[in-house]
Amino acid sequence: MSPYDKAVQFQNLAADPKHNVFVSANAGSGKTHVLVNRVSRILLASPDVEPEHILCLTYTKAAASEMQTRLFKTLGDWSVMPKDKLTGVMKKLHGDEKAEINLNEARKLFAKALETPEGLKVQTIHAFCERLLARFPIEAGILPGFEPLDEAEATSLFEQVWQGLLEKALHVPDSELAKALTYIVGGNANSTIESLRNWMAYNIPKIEKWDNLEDLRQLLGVKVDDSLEAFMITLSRPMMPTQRRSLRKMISHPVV
Amino acid sequence: VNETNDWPSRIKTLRNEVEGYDPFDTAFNGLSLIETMNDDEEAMVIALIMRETLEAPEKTAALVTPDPALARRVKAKLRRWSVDVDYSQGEPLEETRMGAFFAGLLRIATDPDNPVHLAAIAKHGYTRLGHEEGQFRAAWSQIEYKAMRGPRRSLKELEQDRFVLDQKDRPVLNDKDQSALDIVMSLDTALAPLLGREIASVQLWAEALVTVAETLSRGENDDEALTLWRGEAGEKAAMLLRNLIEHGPRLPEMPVSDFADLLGTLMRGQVVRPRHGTHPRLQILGPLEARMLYADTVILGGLNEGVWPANPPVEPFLSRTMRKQIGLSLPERRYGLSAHDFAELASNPKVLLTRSERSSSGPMVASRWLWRLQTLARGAHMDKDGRDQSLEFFKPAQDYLAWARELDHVDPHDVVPISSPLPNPPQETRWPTGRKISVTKLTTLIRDPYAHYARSILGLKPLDDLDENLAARRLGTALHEVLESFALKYGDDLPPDPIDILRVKFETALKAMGVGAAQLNVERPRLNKIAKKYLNWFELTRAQGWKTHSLEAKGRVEIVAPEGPFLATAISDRLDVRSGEYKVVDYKTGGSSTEREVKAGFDLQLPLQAAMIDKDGFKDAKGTASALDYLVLRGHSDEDPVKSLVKTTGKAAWRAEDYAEFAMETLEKLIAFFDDPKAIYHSQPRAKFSNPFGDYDHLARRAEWAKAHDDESGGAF
Repeated sequence: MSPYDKAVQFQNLAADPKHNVFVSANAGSGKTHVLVNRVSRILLASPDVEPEHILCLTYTKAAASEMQTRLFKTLGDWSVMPKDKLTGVMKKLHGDEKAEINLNEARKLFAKALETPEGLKVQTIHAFCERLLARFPIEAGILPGFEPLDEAEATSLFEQVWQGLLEKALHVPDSELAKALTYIVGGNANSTIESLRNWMAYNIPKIEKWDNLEDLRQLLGVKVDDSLEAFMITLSRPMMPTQRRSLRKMISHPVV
Repeated sequence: VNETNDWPSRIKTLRNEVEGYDPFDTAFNGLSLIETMNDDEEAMVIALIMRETLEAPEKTAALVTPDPALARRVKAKLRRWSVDVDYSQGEPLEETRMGAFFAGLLRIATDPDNPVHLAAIAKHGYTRLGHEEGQFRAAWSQIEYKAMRGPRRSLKELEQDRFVLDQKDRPVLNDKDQSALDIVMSLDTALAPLLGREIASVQLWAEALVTVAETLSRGENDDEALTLWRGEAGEKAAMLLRNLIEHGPRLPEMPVSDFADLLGTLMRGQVVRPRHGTHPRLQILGPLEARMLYADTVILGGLNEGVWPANPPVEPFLSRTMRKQIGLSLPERRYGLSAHDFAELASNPKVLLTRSERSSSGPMVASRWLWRLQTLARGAHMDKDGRDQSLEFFKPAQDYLAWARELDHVDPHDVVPISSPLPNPPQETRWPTGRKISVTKLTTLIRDPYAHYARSILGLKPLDDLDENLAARRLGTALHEVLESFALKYGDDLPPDPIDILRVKFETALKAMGVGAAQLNVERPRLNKIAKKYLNWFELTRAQGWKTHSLEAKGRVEIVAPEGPFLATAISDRLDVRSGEYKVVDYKTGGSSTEREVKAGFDLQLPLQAAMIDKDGFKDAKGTASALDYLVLRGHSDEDPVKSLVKTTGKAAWRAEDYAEFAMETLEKLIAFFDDPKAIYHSQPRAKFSNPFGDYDHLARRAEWAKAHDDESGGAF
């Protein structure tokens, strides 16, 4: 078997809706092709599957557009292709000379995909999540009709929150917050603090994991009843490279 | 229509209906498609088509698109030929000048002393406050330039400070400024109704807004009092505010920020449409307005999925399935309606369809109707082998796309990148204050001659931003002043509680710069650290026998140069003395130059001061320099603050006199260089020591010509 035929065979296998597959391949080797084939085969194999019940997530908008365009192109071709040619294409698609082909169904798919009631669901992860939140705002605990923040709004909000923190520290000088601020301001230039707080703003789930300080304590050799100050002092001491690596891994932040 | 399985047979049937007549030969007559690379190109193509229409007498053209952004772009492109076309869908009140005016006023109400908000209203075209057109604005600009830049200062504070003296004991504002300030202060009075309330009824806010807007927009004549409410936008705004005043009592009391949100939302819903079409032959319409349309040329623009047809909005309460079960209309009904619009419009005699492959958010998918049209055409014009022969049918009569690309095309080969500026000012202008230079300016002249040229020769100074927090930039100056006054007062005998005294002084200085309480609170640990570092250093050096000789002492040294004697001056932060030997100390609050940089001649500050001592350039300092120290006072690290240039050990160790000699040589070479009539003031000529944040880099257009791999130009100045 030639390498080309072999590749086609793998592609056909990956496009077969009967299997759950994970495809990893080089750029330009036909991943999108496989996805388009798979979607068409799902639609062909079970006429009662509505196109809007297939969800295709991509990482970039470019990939989503590309996939949708190729799908429309492929299905459009089928609808007007001469009979013999379409039969050939179908057989190739299934990788099976004896596959049972219903040309009529194949030709219907173009309009079916185009006119999917809520649009074909080929989306970026971002768009999908936004849609999900828009559909279930109450469940997500946000206002119905919300709009995602743009960059300028985010910056201004961020500044407000930061000023709020400073105010809080001013009014409750004995608080953990005030102590932490004192510590961090005394040891870092403003630019470092800024990059740290930017990172923190977008990595809340990681930070929440820090609550489990036991691993951190063991790593640094701090006792349970040590004060925050002692903990901080340990943190600021030079560390062994291995310690440093583990610490980095634990909190996933490059600054420390 | 949802069935496409019978397309091949339907195509055949249509063809056989009339003997010898192929409907597909004529069906696409007059219908063409232009696909562009991006939104801008699409707008240009459309503008060209519309402009072309005007060449033929009496012909009309219309662009139909649901995309307001595309409509605006086309409108802007047409202005190139002085063609003004209206967009029938209008713009939201919020986006008109009127909307900006009201939003701006409410922003002031939320944050009354924010100079950015004040400036936005002060410079708004509606703001006249009873003066001639432009007069208020001119007065504001004058005051802003003189007194509003930098840290926040409210109008009231400005009024109180109006006779404040500058460093040379002149009033900061001269007589002319004073009358401008009087004009500006009328803004403060006029804004009063909107200020000073935490929470109020909607009615009250709306009434206050109306009062303030009317006072602000009043012209110099009484009959101009209410011009604000004239015109389409004015009427819409008036109606909106009247409603709020009337029905306001039904709403809860709210802070002004909520009222601003409320008004913003309401203004977004009000569309301001131009009252009369401005162009007799060209139109830009939304699909709805276009239903009754007739035009010789119809352009359907923005034919992308998500734009035309638009995606149905995502419903937070009822899903499609739920709607179906209840029997409500389904979201896809909109698709049907807009498909109907499209089909009607596309049936006009001459139609151009346009879309762009990319929008600002990324690649786009063509509209479903284009897919159908193109697929059908492909089916009808396929050769025996199934190859597509349909492309020809959608070609426009003229290659508008090529026109659009040609129009502003610049051949890359014709682009000559700008070269670095080579200022060569006349010799007599080079030393505006005489043949002398201070060591601080000298550093600029060495590192960035262009910056020296712009600042000291042309006299261009960077303007502070409005509401700029200068704390970081001015911290150094403040610390210097505090340390000087502290040392002046106590000399070599410290008071019992020196750290507290220093801390209070630091805080007072920072407050004076406009640093707020919360920020100050955070800076406090750093100020403490700085105070401690200074005092530690002070006690240590006193213990070593050093005595304060002078603070802020003026030093000078003269050199011989081609165009005559030349004077270098310095103000030394601190001179300490120990048995005829001097220690030159320079406080640094940022970074200090490295020993390597100093030895390469990039920073002559300390070496030249050493030379000044050796040559009796400091009053009452007889003897020689033996130590040159930077005292680096940074509050966020525990590093040793002392960086000594003079080392006693090591191969490359220079003594103070070595530095002094080197400084004199370097200075002589430098001044000789700039005494040459042909001398060029280069912008940051040494790549190795250049930095990306020079105040004059933009003026020098460095980004256009400076490359990372610029080679170092070596010893030349």
